[in-house]
Amino acid sequence: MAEVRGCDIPEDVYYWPEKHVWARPADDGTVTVGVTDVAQHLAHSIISAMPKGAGKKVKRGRSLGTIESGKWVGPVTAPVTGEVIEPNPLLASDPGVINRDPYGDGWYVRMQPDDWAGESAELVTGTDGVAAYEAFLEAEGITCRE
Amino acid sequence: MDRSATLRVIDFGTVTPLRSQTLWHAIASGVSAGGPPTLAFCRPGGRYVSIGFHRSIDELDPEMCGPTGLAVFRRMVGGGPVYIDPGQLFFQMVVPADWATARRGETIRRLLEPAVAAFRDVGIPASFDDEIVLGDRKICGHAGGQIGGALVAVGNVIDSFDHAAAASIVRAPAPEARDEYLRQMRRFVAATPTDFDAFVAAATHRYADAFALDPFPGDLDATERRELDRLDRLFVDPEWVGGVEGRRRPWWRVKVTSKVWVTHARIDALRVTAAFREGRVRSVRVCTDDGVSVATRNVEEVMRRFGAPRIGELLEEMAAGAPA
Repeated sequence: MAEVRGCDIPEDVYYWPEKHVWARPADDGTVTVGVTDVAQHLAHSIISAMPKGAGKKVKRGRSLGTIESGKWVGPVTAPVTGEVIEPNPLLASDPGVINRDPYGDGWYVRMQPDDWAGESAELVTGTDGVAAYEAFLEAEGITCRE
Repeated sequence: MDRSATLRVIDFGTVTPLRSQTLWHAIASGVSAGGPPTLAFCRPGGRYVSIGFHRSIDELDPEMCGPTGLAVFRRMVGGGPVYIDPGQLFFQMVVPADWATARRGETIRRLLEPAVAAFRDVGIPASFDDEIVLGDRKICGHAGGQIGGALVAVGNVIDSFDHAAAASIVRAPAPEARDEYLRQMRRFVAATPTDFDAFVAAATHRYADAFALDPFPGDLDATERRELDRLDRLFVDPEWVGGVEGRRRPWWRVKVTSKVWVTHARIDALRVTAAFREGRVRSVRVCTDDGVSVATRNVEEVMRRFGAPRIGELLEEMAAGAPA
């Protein structure tokens, strides 16, 4: 896993850096989505997470559900268009798992994307993805060491 | 008029409890749809309870709130259950979502610092320390979030605060837990009586100045009025008010300010209530079912008297838990 400005940015997922979300495609065509280490760091202690339920269709750029920290409720942005097939059931009882393990047990939803091949081209991944995320963090002056 | 450089200011005056919530949610939809940034004010005409978007209705005392008690409305921004009455002036700042900075904390601060300046303009030397405070007391309940394509920060100016009523709305596991909550609220939550009209004028000036916008008196547009009708129905829908199932916690916990919270747990026949400030025990009370009650600031004392390992461990766990 790459460390960029103190943030964990693994190379094996796809990012939308401005929205601080990641997507990981599976062999069965589904995509797991979550928020990045940067997002959980900026949010501090996440006290609630409410993903949309299975069956909900969400367009890329729209909200997949909400996260709350410090009295602020914000959306988790869909990196691709598709249908939620499973919200992470762990989040209802333990939303802090997003802070502890944002790329693992703290995933947000699993989706069935409409057009992964097309829309994933809008995301960044691999070493180029890490570099693009790093450039964004640098431009915004964000580190995970604060 | 170039709406992108203007600040619509709407002072709704005294409105019903329902409208004191739905009006600004309607504004959020308007701003999402391209309407101008808006600063709104209102005074609720009656008492009610507002509960945060993610919070469980089970946190409320069922006798004080709901069908037989105070009306309950679920807002779309964060925070816990709060008691609201006509002694409070509400302000809401609503701006386009793309005005957010990359850091959430910075966004909140940008949306609330003009209010802090307005407090100071009317003679209240407030400051911002995670929330709007006067010294070590919270003087403004705030919440915020993104609703659609709008960022919203809401807060209040408290002319008078009924601490007992505010403590009564929360479902408490034991009388001593509610008593401690009330005691800590009286210590750390304060009213700052001031002329509401003067605050409105000061806040208008400060928000316009901070965002470099020209203020103009406005009102809801036709689309927002239609959304208001929808929200008026939604906010009294039992399904909306009921919200989500509550998160199970190992112990009861209620926040007094961003730094102060009260917790309660049971160990066999002992009931332990503790107040914490920034993770440090302020007071602890241990009660037994046969009527023994010991309250102290001295943790060592209760550990000696009731069994050091378990109470000590419990207090450590309670202190480590961030306030909800």
